[in-house]
Amino acid sequence: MEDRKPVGIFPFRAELLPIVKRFDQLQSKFILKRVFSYPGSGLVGKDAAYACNQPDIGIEVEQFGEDNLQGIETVILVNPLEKSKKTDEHLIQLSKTSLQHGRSVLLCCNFTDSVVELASELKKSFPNFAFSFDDNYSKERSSGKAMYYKRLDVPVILFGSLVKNPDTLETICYLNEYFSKIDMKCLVISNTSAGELFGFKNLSPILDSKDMSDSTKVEEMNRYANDLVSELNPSFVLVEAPDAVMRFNDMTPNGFGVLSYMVSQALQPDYLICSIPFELAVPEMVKALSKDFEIRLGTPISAALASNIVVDSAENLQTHVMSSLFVPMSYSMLKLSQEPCADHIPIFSVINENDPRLFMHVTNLLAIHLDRR
Amino acid sequence: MSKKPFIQLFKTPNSAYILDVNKNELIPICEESFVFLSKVLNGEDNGLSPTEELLALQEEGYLSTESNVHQIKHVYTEFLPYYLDRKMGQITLQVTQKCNFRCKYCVYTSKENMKQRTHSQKSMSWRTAKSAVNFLWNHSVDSKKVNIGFYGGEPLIEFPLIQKVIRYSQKMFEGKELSFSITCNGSLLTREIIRFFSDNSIDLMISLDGPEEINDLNRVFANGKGTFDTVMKAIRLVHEVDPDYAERLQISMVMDPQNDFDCINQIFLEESEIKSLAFQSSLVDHELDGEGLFFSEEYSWKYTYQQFLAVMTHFGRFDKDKVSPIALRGMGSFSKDEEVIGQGIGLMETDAPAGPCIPGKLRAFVDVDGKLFPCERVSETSSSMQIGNIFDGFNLHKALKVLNVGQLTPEACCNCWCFRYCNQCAKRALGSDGCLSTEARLEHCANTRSETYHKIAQYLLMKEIPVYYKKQIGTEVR
Repeated sequence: MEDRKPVGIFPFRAELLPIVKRFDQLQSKFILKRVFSYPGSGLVGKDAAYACNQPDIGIEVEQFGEDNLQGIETVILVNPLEKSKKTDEHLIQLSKTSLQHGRSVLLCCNFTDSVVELASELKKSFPNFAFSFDDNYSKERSSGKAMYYKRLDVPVILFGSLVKNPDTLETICYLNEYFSKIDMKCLVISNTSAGELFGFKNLSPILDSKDMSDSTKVEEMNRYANDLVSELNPSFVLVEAPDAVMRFNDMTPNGFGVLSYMVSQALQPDYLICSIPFELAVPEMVKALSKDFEIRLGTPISAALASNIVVDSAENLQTHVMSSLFVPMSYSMLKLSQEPCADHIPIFSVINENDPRLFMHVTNLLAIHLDRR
Repeated sequence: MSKKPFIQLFKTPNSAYILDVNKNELIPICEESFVFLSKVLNGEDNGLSPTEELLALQEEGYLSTESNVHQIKHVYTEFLPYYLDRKMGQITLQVTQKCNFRCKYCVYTSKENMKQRTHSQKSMSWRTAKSAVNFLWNHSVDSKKVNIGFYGGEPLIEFPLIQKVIRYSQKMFEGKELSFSITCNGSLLTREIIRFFSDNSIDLMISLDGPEEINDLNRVFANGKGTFDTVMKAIRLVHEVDPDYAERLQISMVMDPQNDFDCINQIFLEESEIKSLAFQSSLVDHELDGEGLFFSEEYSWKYTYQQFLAVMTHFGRFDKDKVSPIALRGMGSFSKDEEVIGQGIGLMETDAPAGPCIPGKLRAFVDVDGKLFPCERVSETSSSMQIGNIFDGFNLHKALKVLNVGQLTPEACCNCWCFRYCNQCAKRALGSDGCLSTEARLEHCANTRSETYHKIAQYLLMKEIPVYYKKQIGTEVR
């Protein structure tokens, strides 16, 4: 622990809670000392877990500022999912402030993100500035390998969600930690560039590419995943679906699950673990969704994760954009416990640190898979 | 068919339909079935057997005779505390109760007004305004965007306070999408204010009811002088100071249907500064003063004619520039209706009639003292409508009563064909004592059903036009 560099992360938001919660466990280079957010996030001064209405984790969110950098050597800046010229400029401004105050900056982004162009200029003047993607897909891209399409040699578990939320990443981080404790090596593919801090791989640069057709992207993702499997020799692959796995309803198409479909075509998942808002996580619904996914994504639901989110249908109706809110974990878990058990698809509460059932379930899936071979 | 089915019949010039209320589906039926069902619903013994078509529908589970609904409870009831804790989207601050106008229809002016406050000299303090912004900050962590609105009285009387609130909010909400809106009478706009609004992208709405002869009938200064010239000068000033910003200006138009519709509409033909602006029109609101609405003949037939022209425009048969923008705007609401009618789910065992908003979540109104109301349109003197205050938080018990206003009339609501299309919010259930009342709510039902009937009938007719009048409309549908 002594050799680790103390770091602060910015801008904290709900999507980053899984990263913050397991930051110190899932990598050995840094130790997380501070968590910063924008004042407008409504999180400053609150426990980080408040972002997802989870029980406190003992990390208070602070406002980013030059006076708040004491005790940290590196500032990790994570490019937000909703990128714009404004967010790019702000990240560059914050990078400058941190660098000018003698801190290192690690910018987590995809090499395809627009902020990279601005940040590259900064990198020339400040050796303490680095990108998160330096060792990843960007370097392999021009390898000139011929395209081929083949099923991965190891089992693939896809983690999807009916409504995009941080639960899938949370589950992946949780399982990764569990499996690493028993020395079982897994390849993790997530959607956040911050996941690269944990050695997670990221398909976003392929999905975001403007140079490839959709079918080429599928082939490229398949090639990239096969290369990673050959290189890293994992026992299995955990993949986070890049978007909600299906159209929510006609009012809120929610992306139609297009990207998840592409990823499932590329990686041909053997199992699907699906996060579902707790009020919809009832056996009949899970069963119906499972049937649909078997055709849509090539695999039925192996287990459902009841998420503590509620879909804001009234807002969806007005804006046609998916909107949701987090209810307390205790409330969703109570509701879940009142539901009858499913016939064959288990429903777990995603964030229950003391409940190893999900880990056991995944272990069983993998054992069955190996037996089949 | 011994019992009355739970349906509503609709007739257009081309076809007949039933709304199966339990299933919330509109189904075309033949004339014979329509006649048969009309008689059944009227309690006439027609001595006829149901048509094959109706028997087939019965077989499919349609035409049930009992309402599916057995308990009135809004689907958000259990989640309301969490919505109010984390998902507020907007607050409207009543920065002052002072006003330099004395509009004759204004609820604050009306002498017989039992359900609303009257004009006063009270203004919001900085402490209250700041607390209100903090309150929104504390209750909107799950909202991607928030809006702060300014309302009065005439809000510009407190422009320095508005400036302070905007600057403070911009600091507080840095990193979140924040917008501001203000509804004012325009008379106090200056170059400085316009520049400040433009620099801070404030959505500005100015109230103006029509051309001078219409506007000045009701919208007058405290000394009784008409306000039209002053307001038009202000609108011209916005155009002069910042033409780009002027394009975003909106007009709020309150129409008194006692007047001639063509005269009201004249403002869009005569005033070039108004012509291109977005506007919102509404009818004079007499719900809080108990007076009824009177529609003059000149208003009714001229508006109906313009509506007809708007429909013709929609189907590419008439020049848009020759139709009243007010009627054209009505076509916009048709598109909204199209999204809703027949699209929702059927009635459930535990359900609630449409109508109420999620009080406090959508557009909480904060009065000068910091009291919270569901919106700016409800009575500020009603204890039932006061759903908390910004210092102590929401009063969940009261907010739940507003949300579940349908529980006042369970029997009537469960058996009403309008259940899914009701638009009666809690405001329409306020009795003369300012409390929620069954009688007050029921008083509006006939009108609500009539409005809904016409809305659905229009929806059906609009759907039919491309089918039945294909030749007449050609292929161009705008």
